[in-house]
Amino acid sequence: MTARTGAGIRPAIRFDHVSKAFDNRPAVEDIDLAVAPGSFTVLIGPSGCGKSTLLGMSAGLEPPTEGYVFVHDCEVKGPTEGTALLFQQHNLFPWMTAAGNVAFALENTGLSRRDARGEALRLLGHVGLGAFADKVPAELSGGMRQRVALVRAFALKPRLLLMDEPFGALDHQTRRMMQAYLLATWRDSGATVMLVTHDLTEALVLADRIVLMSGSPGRVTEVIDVIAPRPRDLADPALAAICRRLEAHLEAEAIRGEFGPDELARLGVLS
Amino acid sequence: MASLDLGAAKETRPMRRDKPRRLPRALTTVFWFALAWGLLIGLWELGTAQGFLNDRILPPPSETIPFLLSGGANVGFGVQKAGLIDAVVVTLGRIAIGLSCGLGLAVLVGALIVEFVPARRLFMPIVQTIAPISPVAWIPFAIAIVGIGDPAAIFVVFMAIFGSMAVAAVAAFDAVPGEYVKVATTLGAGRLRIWFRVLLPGALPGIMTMTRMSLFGAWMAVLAGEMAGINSGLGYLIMMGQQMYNMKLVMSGIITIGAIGFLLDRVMLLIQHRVLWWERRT
Ligand SMILES: Nc1ncnc2c1ncn2[C@@H]1O[C@H](COP(=O)(O)OP(=O)(O)O)[C@@H](O)[C@H]1O
Ligand SMILES: [Mg+2]
Repeated sequence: MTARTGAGIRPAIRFDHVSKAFDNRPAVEDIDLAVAPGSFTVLIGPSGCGKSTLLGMSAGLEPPTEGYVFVHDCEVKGPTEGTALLFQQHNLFPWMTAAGNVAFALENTGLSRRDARGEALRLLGHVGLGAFADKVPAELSGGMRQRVALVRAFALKPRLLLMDEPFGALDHQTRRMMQAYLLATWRDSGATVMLVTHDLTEALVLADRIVLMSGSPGRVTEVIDVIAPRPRDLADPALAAICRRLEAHLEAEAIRGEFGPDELARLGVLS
Repeated sequence: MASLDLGAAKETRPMRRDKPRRLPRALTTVFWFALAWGLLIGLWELGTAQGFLNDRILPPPSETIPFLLSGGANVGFGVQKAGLIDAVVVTLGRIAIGLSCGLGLAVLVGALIVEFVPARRLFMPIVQTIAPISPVAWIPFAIAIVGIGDPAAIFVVFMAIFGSMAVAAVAAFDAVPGEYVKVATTLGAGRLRIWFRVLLPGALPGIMTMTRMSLFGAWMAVLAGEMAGINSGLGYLIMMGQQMYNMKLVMSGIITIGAIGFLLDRVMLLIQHRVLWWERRT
């Protein structure tokens, strides 16, 4: 039995019978999941099913109540070097400029203020954000803010990137651009990505693997491998079939979580 | 027809706005400020001249203002003599020290409460109970412990603001979005660095607002203290005016309180804008 070390495939993340409760109320239960290194995994599920909780445990922000979480074969016992986190909002510190935000990360690695700023300017210039280096986040568009946040995350050369609905607040067009940008960055870096989204198209465009979760308490119900070349063509019948499966799953979950059977009959959803 | 009219009105409005005929806002404010006070002072002058107002209780501005500007607002004799300027300096010094100590300790205690759960359980009830106590209630206590000088006044200022500032500091720290701390943590920042680079700046808008309100509270508290036994400063000057039945002195003191209170608030606003530099850039 090599369960604790996960020898063999050496997954980037491994949840080993993980449960997590907040104040004795279970948030996720008995999660058993392995994420292949360098892969792109998308988590989908109804609100409150524990997607953010899974990311938080992978980042070492919260310990599991039961079971073990491994990142690169090491049990996660706190924030790990090489793991980056990106939220939908509140990523960039409003009281620092774009360059200041990136430099903040670099300074944590022991770089001097000067060197950190120099490197930050170089990295921002590299992705065409040089002109915005001395702007504060409030002066940037939503898409630019997320790009600066991505630049900052990748400044520390992470092996694992955890993203919690990162593009949820962006408009449709900006979101498409950001997805392309993320895919390019991910491919160049070789990092493992685990991303949470509510947007089924986003899942189909990005994922190698889609992990479907159901709520109360949160469990993994299905894992779907998406085998199609990128850039993805959503008209592809295989992708369309996956999309229908995802929709059916989310609908069933919404039904379970939000509406009673009488209400559903009235709405005609079940017919 | 009605909708047509509305459409026409909508079209003309932006054109009217193109002409920058309005006075700059700051100038308008100053204008109304001067007008309001000019009217009040004018009516008052008129009232005393016509005998509607008793000029021994409410000396007319034409007497009070020259009296104020001539530096005649003194009390006492010889070494005990204290002028208006000295009184103002003494009072402002007390506020500066009391407010700095109160702010510093409130932020420190607030940080401890936020960082350590036992500290929250232990300190929170105390600061919550201290917060609503009227600063005047501390005066006898302050005088009994440290006498009737500066320390008592500073103590009163401190007690007036410390509780509410600590409670507000905790609220300000708690209101910093959790994402910031999580992001900083995964970016490899240590706890101390998170405090200085994330939680403190994140709470700064709230802390600055509370400091501005506390300045107001401190200003009230120190004057009350000086009127109730601490025998120096601006409040004391007014009490002396009352005892000598020198209403010009009382009036001068009141005008000074109003003017300085107003200026202090403006200065705080300026400091607030400077400190929160990133909020101006939008
Ligand atoms: N810090 C916390 N304290 C208490 N309950 C929490 C906390 N974080 C999450 N929960 C609860 O755990 C469940 C899962 O939350 P979350 O992981 O945020 O779900 P999702 O991201 O899928 O919407 C929810 O019921 C939520 O209320
Ligand atoms: Mg979530």
